[in-house]
Amino acid sequence: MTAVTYGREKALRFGSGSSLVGVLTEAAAGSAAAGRPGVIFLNSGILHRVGSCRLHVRLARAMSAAGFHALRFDYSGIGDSDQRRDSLPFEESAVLETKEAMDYLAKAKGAQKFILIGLCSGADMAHETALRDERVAGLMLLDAWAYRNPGYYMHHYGPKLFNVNVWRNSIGIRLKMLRGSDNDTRVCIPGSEGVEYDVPKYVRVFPPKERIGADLRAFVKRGVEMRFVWTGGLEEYNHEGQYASTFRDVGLGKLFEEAYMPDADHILTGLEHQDQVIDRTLRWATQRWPAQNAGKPSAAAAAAVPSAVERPASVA
Amino acid sequence: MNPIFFGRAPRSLFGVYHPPKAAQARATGVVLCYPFGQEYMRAHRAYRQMALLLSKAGFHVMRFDYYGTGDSSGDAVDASLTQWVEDARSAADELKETAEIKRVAFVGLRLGAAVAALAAEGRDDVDQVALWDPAVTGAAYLAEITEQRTDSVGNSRHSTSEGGLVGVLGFPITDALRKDLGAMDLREVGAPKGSGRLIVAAHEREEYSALGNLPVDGVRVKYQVVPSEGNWNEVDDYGGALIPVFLIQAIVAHLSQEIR
Repeated sequence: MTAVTYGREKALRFGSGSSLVGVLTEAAAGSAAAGRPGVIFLNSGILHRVGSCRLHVRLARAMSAAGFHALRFDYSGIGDSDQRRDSLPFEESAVLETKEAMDYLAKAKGAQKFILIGLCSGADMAHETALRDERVAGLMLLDAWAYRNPGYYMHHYGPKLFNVNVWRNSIGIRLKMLRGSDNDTRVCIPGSEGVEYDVPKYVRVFPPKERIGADLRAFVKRGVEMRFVWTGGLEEYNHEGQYASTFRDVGLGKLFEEAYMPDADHILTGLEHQDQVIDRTLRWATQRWPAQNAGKPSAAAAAAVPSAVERPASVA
Repeated sequence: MNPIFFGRAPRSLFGVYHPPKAAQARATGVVLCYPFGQEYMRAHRAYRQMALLLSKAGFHVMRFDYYGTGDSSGDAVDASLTQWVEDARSAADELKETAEIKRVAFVGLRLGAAVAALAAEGRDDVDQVALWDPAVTGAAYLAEITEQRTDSVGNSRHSTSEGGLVGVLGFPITDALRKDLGAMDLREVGAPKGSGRLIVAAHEREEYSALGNLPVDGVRVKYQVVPSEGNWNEVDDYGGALIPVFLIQAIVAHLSQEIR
């Protein structure tokens, strides 16, 4: 949580009818932003653009200091943005508005490619936008859609394998899950307590695994760089490597990296977990889009990246 | 409404100005002071709703993020109550200048109520101060928010960084903030002469009624309970919001009635 020297910040209204509200953090003066993708942060649930525990603000400023223009904004009906006047479902309006955010950043800062960053529903909308807009060159997703595979069950039941009682009691349940009849229905409902208020409706339903496999093939074909991170808060994921293993036939290769933070909760309330996400995201972005070869992702680049999350010694 | 940065870099603050939407604009503006930490996240939607209602009632409204919070500049490690009170005063001055008005009112929720009361104290341009579910003493508030809780993974919601910084529900509590809270007692905070003070709460609590019945020299004090569900000092696993509509309406009705 060290103060980083980030670029100028600007409050904005943009998009159709200037209905969307956001904050642009320009790349820090003297940093090498030319040719690098712009970074766009997407809402998770109904949390406004600052992100869970202010994660988006801190990460945007760290990215700015490293030479990226970053935009955090609110989807219509969330945070400070106005309601839409049409009746588009959230899944469609979110993709449309993410494209508008890219249009803004392209016009204002000349960005031609983009990295989308999102948690939960933000991850879902980043995935959907990447499918529909080839300007998306990178995805950094937290608690994205995941799928149980044999390795999942090994990690889940492994420690209990020698307990006869567990076997006896759970065999029926396990058979049901292996048949696939108890998955793909987890829901995440961004909502409000006490009153029904006009926020967009989005029920998180995991798409069929086969569809995601096809999407990933398209991403690989386009060279989309992917960093996916899961917390201990998503039930469908329980060991590092699960995603790459689930989609082994896609051949994600060096375009993809995944990480598991089993001790972190879904909204990242741990300060150390927030720091890890910021530090590793920064490292990933600066390695994949190094300043000296801006615009062309390079998995091989491994320049040392200064940590943006060191704390001052005076803080106790 | 207009999102803006105001104040001088590197301490510029993010704010949203809502101009009046009524046929007749009122001559007093309202400054909304957010609560702290997860309560800020959970209250953002409610504050927007309140700002829209106040705007429709003819008020100029400013809601803003304190230094080191939300979209404002600065890091959470630099946060202090003293700074936030200064920020609230700056926001009031910014609102007066933007809207070309001479009078203001402050509204604050939980720790924001303390900020509102402290910011109003000593000013001669304040008509009303509304304290919503106020943190009456900093010590009690600190004890309340630092109660141990576990998340869905079974881990503590409290964390300590490598540098020894203590986090509560995802937000650091600095030594400066802890020190400021230790000294904060709303019962000792004065109010501008001739102004009104509303204490409004979702639940009946002894400290609220004590504050509501505490006479303040030259000040009209009103205490009102508007039963509402929910507890600000909670967090779910998905970042849900709390929007007590009737309570918000009660604040707007009070200000509309008391201020021309």
